[in-house]
Amino acid sequence: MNFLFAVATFLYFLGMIKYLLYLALRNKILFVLATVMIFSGFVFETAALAQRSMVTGHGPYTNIFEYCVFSGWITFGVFLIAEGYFRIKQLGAFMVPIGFALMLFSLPFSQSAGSDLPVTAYWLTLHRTMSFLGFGAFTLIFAAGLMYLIQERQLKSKHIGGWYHRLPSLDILDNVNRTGLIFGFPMLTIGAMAAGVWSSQNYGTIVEFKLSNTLLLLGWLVYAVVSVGRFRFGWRGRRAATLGIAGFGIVAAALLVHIS
Amino acid sequence: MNLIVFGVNHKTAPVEIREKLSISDKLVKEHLRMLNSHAPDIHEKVILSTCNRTEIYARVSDVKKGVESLKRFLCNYHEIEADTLKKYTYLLVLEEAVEHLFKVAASLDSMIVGEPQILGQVKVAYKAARELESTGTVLNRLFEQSFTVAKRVRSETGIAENAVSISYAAVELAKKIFGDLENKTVLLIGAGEMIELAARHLVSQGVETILVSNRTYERAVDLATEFNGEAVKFDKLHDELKRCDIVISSTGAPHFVVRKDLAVKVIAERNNRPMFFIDIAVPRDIEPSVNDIDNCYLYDIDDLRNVVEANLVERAREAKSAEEIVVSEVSQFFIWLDHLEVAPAIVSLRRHVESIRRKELDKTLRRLEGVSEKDKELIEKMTVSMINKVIHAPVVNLKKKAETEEGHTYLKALRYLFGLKD
Repeated sequence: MNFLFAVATFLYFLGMIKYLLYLALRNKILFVLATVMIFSGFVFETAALAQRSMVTGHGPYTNIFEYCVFSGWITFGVFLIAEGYFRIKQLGAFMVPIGFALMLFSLPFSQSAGSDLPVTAYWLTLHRTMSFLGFGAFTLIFAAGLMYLIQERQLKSKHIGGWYHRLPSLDILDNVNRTGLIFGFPMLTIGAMAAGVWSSQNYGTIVEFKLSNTLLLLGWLVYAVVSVGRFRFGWRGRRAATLGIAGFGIVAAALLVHIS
Repeated sequence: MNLIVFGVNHKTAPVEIREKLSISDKLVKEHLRMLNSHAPDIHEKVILSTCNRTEIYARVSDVKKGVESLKRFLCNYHEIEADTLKKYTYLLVLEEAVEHLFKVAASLDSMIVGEPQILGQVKVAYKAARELESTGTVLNRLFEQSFTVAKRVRSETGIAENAVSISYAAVELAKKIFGDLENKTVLLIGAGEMIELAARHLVSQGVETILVSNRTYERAVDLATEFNGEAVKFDKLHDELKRCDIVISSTGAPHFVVRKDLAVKVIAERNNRPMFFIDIAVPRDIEPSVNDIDNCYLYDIDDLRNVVEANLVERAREAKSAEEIVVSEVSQFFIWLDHLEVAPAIVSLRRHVESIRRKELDKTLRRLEGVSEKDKELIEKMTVSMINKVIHAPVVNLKKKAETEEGHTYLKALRYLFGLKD
């Protein structure tokens, strides 16, 4: 594995530990350190991806290793933006482990061969970029949804515990879900449509019904339902959070099947 | 030199005693003046008197004498017997005294741990003493540092984060549901002290509109005027409900004022925007199953009590880490104090051995006969270099130890072993 990737992964690891410690101990210094670590890791990974792309001459999305580190990079990027924007200090403890898991998952595949699909075709590039960006937004929805469900459980059950004190308000968590949908759903839609266009151009069929595509369609359907429910019928709160989590699970499964 | 705290607090004395000993803000200065002129044993002093404590912080040379004059002073100016005073007061010396002040300022010694008023009261007490020049280097430093400790405890632990009163717990819950409370609408149903208190807290958090409803419309109007809100006729209550984010109910009604089917309807009309019902009435005003509706949260008086209890447990846990801060600050203070004391201690050690040398040398020289001036000088030089060599190592080592937490023990030992006075 490339040196820059190794440094980035290590920094992500340190940041993750600090976020988890911050969740437990609530010492603000830990939070600041954690954010610095993740940001530094992100800078290193950006450099690593840029270097790799210059060497290979295409974006980092042609084999399992690249899929993982690229989706990890997007997750951390989305996370840094979301943390800065929403100021939810506990978000890191929920979102960073997902990004780190992606980095970790990439390790055994660092030498794997590229796929035989073309690497610079316009529709494919659009499909890949948009799908990954959408995935980043769904990771955010997932993390916020988990926090929402925990906090809601605390408030409804009236068993006030450590989580109640640690997690932010339901309002802001619901707001993250909303924002995540506004960005994530269109990206996923564009990503899926681009794949359809490319497929029809090259194979003469829009959708080939294999497992990953079926899963992706299912995930898309879930997000379509939440989006309509949310923006048309005023769904919010627990229902939006639960569906967001389910959608993430399906899309993540689709990604996993698709790349392996 | 000694630092002491002498006084009573809510842990050692019942309110009858505390009120007898309490000294109003106005009288504090008078008392300080009195101590300044009539108690020369007490070099520096600060009087801290709140409803939970009356304490005198002082720097004295002799603990016993200092305490005696403080006792006399308290007995003279308050109607209290010396025996009674003895029963309820406590005396803390040096480390314990410093630790005590730090805990008091950081609100770790308060009746409700973490309450914020005490720091202000300590500051006022210190300012009064400073204005009358009742404090000096040591107490100035001690009190300034106690403010730092309080600030650290506040920012580094979560001691004051959680509500420990029922009405404030309601506000805290509302914030966990709605985030900030600006632009929110509150409906008060009924009246009473609790409902007003909660409303006041909510207003101070920026709640925009307050609606008041009561079976007696005039009372609703009264309360609404007080909060700059709107009065709502009791039979129009159901129509207004959909405007409200927070509903606090405290009526004497024997039946439910808000039933589940109504709440379901209202939530649908509100497009699922959350609602927080606070039911402080007994018998209850709001059907308990309202809590089962999505985006509806219902807390009754017992639930709120449980929240307060959970928060108190949380505070106790935070207090532990606060005490670690206090301990480290206490040792910081003594390192400073030792530095302050090292120089005078060394001077008095030198004076002490010098006076012995002088005396013994004079005695010997007087007895010696036929010694030339030159020899006398030689003997004199020898004695000087002897004592310098003897005290060199102790002085150097003492200076070194003064940088550590043990410094104070060594200083005390030095003074004790050589019989040096303060």
